[in-house]
Amino acid sequence: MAILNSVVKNRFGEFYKLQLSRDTNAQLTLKSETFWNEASTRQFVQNLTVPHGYWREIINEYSTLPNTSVLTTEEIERQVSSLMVRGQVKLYSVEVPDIADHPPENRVIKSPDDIIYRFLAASSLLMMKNYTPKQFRNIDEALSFLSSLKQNSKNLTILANELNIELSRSSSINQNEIIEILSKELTSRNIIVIEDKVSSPIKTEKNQPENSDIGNRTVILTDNNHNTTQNKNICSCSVVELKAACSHNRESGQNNVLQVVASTNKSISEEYELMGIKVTLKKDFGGNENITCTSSLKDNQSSGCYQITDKNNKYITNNESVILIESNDSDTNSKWPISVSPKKSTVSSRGCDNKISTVKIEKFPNQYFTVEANVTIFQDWVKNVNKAWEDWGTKIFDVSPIEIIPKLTGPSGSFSANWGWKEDSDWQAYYNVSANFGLNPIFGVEIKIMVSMTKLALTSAGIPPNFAKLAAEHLADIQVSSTGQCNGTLTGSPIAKFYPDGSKKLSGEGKFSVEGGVNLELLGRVGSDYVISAELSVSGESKVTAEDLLNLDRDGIFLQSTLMLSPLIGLAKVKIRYLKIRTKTKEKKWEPWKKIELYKSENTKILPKS
Amino acid sequence: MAKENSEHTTYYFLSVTSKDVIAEIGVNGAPIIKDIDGEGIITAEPVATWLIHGENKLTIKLTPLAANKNNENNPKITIKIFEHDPDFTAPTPKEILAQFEYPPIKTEKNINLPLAENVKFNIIKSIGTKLWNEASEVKEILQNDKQEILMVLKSLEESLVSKNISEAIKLQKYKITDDSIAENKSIEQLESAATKGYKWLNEQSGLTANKITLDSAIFTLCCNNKVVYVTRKNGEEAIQLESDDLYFDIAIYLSKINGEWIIVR
Repeated sequence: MAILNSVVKNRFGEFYKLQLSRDTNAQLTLKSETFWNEASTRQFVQNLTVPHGYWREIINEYSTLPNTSVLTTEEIERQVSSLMVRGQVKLYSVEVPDIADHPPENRVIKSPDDIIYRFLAASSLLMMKNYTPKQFRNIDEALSFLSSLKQNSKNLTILANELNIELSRSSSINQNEIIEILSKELTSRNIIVIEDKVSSPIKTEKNQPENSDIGNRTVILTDNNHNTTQNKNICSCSVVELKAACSHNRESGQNNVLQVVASTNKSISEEYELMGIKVTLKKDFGGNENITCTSSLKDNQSSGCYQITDKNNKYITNNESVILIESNDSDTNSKWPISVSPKKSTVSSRGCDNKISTVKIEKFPNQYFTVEANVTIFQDWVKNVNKAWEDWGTKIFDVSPIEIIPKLTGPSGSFSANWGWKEDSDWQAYYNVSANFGLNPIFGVEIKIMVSMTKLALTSAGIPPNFAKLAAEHLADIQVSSTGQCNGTLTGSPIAKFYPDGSKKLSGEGKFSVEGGVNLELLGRVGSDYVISAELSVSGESKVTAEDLLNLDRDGIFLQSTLMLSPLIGLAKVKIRYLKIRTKTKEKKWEPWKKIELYKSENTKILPKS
Repeated sequence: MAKENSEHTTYYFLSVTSKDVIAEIGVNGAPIIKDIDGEGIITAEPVATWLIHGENKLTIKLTPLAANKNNENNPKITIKIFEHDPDFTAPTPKEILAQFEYPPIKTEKNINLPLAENVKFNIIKSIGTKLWNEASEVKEILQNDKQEILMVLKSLEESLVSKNISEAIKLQKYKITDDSIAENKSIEQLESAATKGYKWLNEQSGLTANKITLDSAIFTLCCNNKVVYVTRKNGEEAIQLESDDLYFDIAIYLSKINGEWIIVR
């Protein structure tokens, strides 16, 4: 009867496997409890918590004893005690918590030929049927067997720990040493190994494990209101929910994962370099956070049904487990820790059906960075745009840079940015990148160019078609004045959230805008005998427009700007002494330049350190 | 030589930058810079010969363009009259004497086109040109005056088309003389420059004159009734010649001096 093979528990929480004299355990070398006298044995029996009628059934197994129906409880206990003293009923101490506290998968090893071996404490065999431990005649056989499993030292260490086998405290213990220790334990039968047919999905129907098997435990409860019925007393409650909650009131979500970033409690400032300029970087770090994991069971018969793993990944009898998330400076030294993998913890919970639910806690680095930079980090824009104007002047008007008078302003304003991992309002964490641009202007450049029409005739700009017929002295006294200017601003507060699954959310906007253009004038040289004045009628305006690309991606904040200059199309007139000359057809217009790319910056990384 | 002279000469300029507005800008009522089709212009015109010692007026007439279906007109104009900075070879303000901007930068009331505006300014330096002392004040342009003026214009037209350069120079002698005073140059120097220009004109292929007639001419009194500005009814200048591919205009301003109509500007 199953009830007779059950595990019983005393009021001190100790478990015993009861075995009748007819049962043998020849394959075991376990020693049963020894009982010397009936008085102390009866006290032992009274301390055991057993179902109603349990002892009567034990006595009924022995036909020589009187009919139990006429015996009082005291007489029954005396009879049981007598059986124990005589060794006809044996009790073996078993450590059920030891067995239960450890996830069964930690004690399972799959051989290279796909045979699953389950390692157990020897006493476990008392609670199992139809399992024959693998036999090892000597240590060499055990060594050979363990070696054939091809397990690394990490797996072997986990196995040894799960079986409470003490390894050397030295961290340098190697694979062979662990195998040797395990082999000794196998040979001395302190631990056993069985070929686990239960774990094989194909074979599970054939080999239903015992109720007390790992993963198939039943809890036998005393119930003084019922005479027998072990079926009613066998609990098979199961986990209906296991959730994790952080101290910011966020709970695990999709796939039962909670991504956490602990609040910081320390701050330091350090030197950092952005675009070649040293700036001060503030780093927030430190701080811990408690994650509370709570399990809910369905159909449980007592609070003792709750099983949940603690911070050491050991099962405890509780519905709640608190995991401390500790910050560690060594988590990452990166100033842009977007690619740092989270540290993962798994909390498992089970009910009496031993079906395991898990919740995963993913801890992301809690270093958060803030920089408020001197806007001089953008000074290259001024230089580069000025250079672009000079190049334009050189190309169109064939003037050397020293003939160009630049007027430069900017950059002025403010720039700040912050980045690092943050917790979203739901279960997720994200890598936050926020920037605040208040650069007005980021650059301001104006150049002036003055050339004579004679010189212009030799350049790519050329001269107005109707001027081609003018005499040399006329052309020489017509001057071309060109003023090119543009002001660029970079404003706005873009925010990007990068999630570990690769998705991203963007909000806010960084706006790069440019205003400017070219004013071209034809002027008579003051004091000229030949030219009184010149006049230019311009179709439209020659404007500077910007095509900007402010991009926030996983690698940082990038800015690339392109400045385009639209063409200038003009109709020229000149007043010589004393005659004003103009073209008969308005088609003979002058276009000194076509649409031109004035400047295209490199895709400049603003953040992080370039 | 011109540069040496310019060092001792005060140059005054009227500069106009305009867009999408029909503009007629002048000094003391004499139109000097015109954009009759409103396409927009950028220019700076010397105006020393138009100034008088004391109070002067920058005269502005702006007319909006007809509504355009394709493009929204955005009329704007910046007008400055200034004393030139001799450190520069191109017209550059040393001192702005008067300026006008449309649309106005600061205004408490809406100013709509069309508009006619005078902006007063003072010239404190002495002006050496003769005209303002010698020209008669004309109260009214009589038919007889118009015919006499037209005769002068026809003579100039004829001299230019017939390549009679000396006659053309002679007809503009008063103007050249006052220019030489204003620019601190010799008359011969300017006559030589004008001669070169007219010789160049005569080289142009297919040169003819678009003759002005009494019916097509408009006579406008300006400069305290001392100058008559003659134009065509379409706003174009009184003297207009054309070659195969170019137009040649001469703006004509006359005054009555000693009872005779003379080209003075």
